[in-house]
Amino acid sequence: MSHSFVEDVSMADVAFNAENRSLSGLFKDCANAVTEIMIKNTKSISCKIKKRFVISTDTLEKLLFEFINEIIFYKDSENLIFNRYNIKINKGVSFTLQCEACGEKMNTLKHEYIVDAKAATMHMLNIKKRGKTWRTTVVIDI
Amino acid sequence: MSKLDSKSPTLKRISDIIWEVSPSFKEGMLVPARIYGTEKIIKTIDKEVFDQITNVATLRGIKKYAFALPDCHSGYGFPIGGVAAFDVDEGGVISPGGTGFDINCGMRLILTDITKEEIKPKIKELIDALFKAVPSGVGSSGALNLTKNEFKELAVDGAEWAVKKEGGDTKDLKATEMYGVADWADVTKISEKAISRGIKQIGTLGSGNHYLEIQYITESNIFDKKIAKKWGIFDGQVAIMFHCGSRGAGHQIATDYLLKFLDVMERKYAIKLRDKELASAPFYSEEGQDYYKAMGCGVNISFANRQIIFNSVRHVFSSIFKKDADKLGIRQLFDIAHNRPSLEEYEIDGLRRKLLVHRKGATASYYKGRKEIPVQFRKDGSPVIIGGSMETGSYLLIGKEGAKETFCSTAHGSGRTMSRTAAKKAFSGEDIIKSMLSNGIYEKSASMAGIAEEAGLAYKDIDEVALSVETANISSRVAKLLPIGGIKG
Repeated sequence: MSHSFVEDVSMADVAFNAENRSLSGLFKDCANAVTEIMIKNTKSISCKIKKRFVISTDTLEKLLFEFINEIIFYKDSENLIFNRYNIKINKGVSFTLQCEACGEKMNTLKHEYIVDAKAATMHMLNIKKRGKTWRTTVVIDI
Repeated sequence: MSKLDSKSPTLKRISDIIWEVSPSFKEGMLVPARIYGTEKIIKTIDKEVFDQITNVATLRGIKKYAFALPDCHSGYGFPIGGVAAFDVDEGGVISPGGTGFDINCGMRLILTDITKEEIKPKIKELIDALFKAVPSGVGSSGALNLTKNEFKELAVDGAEWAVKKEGGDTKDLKATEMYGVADWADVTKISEKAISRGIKQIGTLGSGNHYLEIQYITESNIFDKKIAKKWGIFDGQVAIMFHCGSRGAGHQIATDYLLKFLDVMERKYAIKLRDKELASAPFYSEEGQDYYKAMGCGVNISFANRQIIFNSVRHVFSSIFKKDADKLGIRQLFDIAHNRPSLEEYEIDGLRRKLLVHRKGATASYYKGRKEIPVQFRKDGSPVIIGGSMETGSYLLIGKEGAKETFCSTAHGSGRTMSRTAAKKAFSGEDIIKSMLSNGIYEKSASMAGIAEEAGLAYKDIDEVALSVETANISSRVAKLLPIGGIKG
């Protein structure tokens, strides 16, 4: 449903809160927040290139940590930024995330850069469900 | 963010500059925590540092104290400006979070024979050309088109690879910590992802607080005339300073091993921690050694990155002044990191011990005679570079005997007092650029929001930081360098 950047959680890095009625929606909000750290006008990102990946971990927090790092990996290795995601999360023996992310190559003429997101951190990272809403706080290393 | 209270009963004043937190403050603390700074500095430190540095004091094998230096501020796991030394022969740990994710991030200081008056008319042209030659900002990729094998060689041979394959001067290596090579690096210990993230980024500055500046020195800002003369520093001189690290590859190495350590530390080594970002393993464990060897690759990638950037700087100056870089007196004074654990020997309670000194956002400050100092500086002490904000200047210092107390560690920068998110709300990048120009500084950046985040007012007073480490006799000031132009990542 939403995410918001918070001032007093991290001094040199960037922290945000996210909340959503669905877990996959929460992950999508977090991915959008990471892109907003880097690019001012995220709506200008066109869906030209699709990437599919699967991640399995033993905890939800690690799943989010690895998911965000995967997005950052594509930014560094292929200059890709995304703004559309199709995410499915299943709980079996472990948590498994299937994601199709869509975006395009970064372009200084089109995208206004802010600051580079370098990694997700485990700092204060937890995912909780209160009532019907999933909530998390994430700190991104800058 | 709320700040420390120098009157707090938990913060015992040991001297004008040292403040101590007793091990009784928190369950599991093995040693006291010590925070360095004048009273003015203490009041600028955010409270989370207190929690983080006392968490560090719980790590296995820690000796003497967990230190927070005057530029400290909260990070994750270790605070930035945090130092801890672990006895590796007593099960002492190695921690990716204690290394810092940007492995071997550091500073390089280049001297020239050019004067401020000579450079003034060319400053815009130079900064614009440097901005093109040294890519910066989000996801920036470099001038080098490396094959995977070349990148692997670079990860093993560091700055030496860069000089051999891409040009440069072997004198640069002599003026680099460890002569620019971590000889324990093993490229088989880093992931394909680390290679993919790093391969296009050699020769790039990155983003955040990374920068490249043209600076100058005035007579009144030379504090140690004898050392300044010995190191070739003079009134009116132009210098070039840049700050960057191992880029995406270093981060990937840190992330990969953070996850590996989290998997094994409790199950295999019975290490329980208050903070996942402090994930650790004994240095002499399989995982500890694997990380150490992978981290060595990060160190080499970082040294090579700064070497390639220096080559670009040489080229730009040479083409604009239409003279060889040598004829312009362009030479490296020193290259030193502030995110790297280092194996060093110290005497503890009368015994020689081998310690792994973690310096996260902290610079090595070796007093004269230490074997870690490159030969040409060993008689006097190691050069120390403390990088300031883009508006306020930076310091060159020299290691002093008081650094024995801090395992030869000193500050690395100004240290933030305001979060990035708060700074972006409080300042306008465009206004800062205009104000800097009216103060004679031509600044260029890929991002106006990035400029706002890096406003001088978001940082502590660098003069007070330098004064704090000098008062503690950890390092003493040689010269202050003021900016005349810069590029911000």
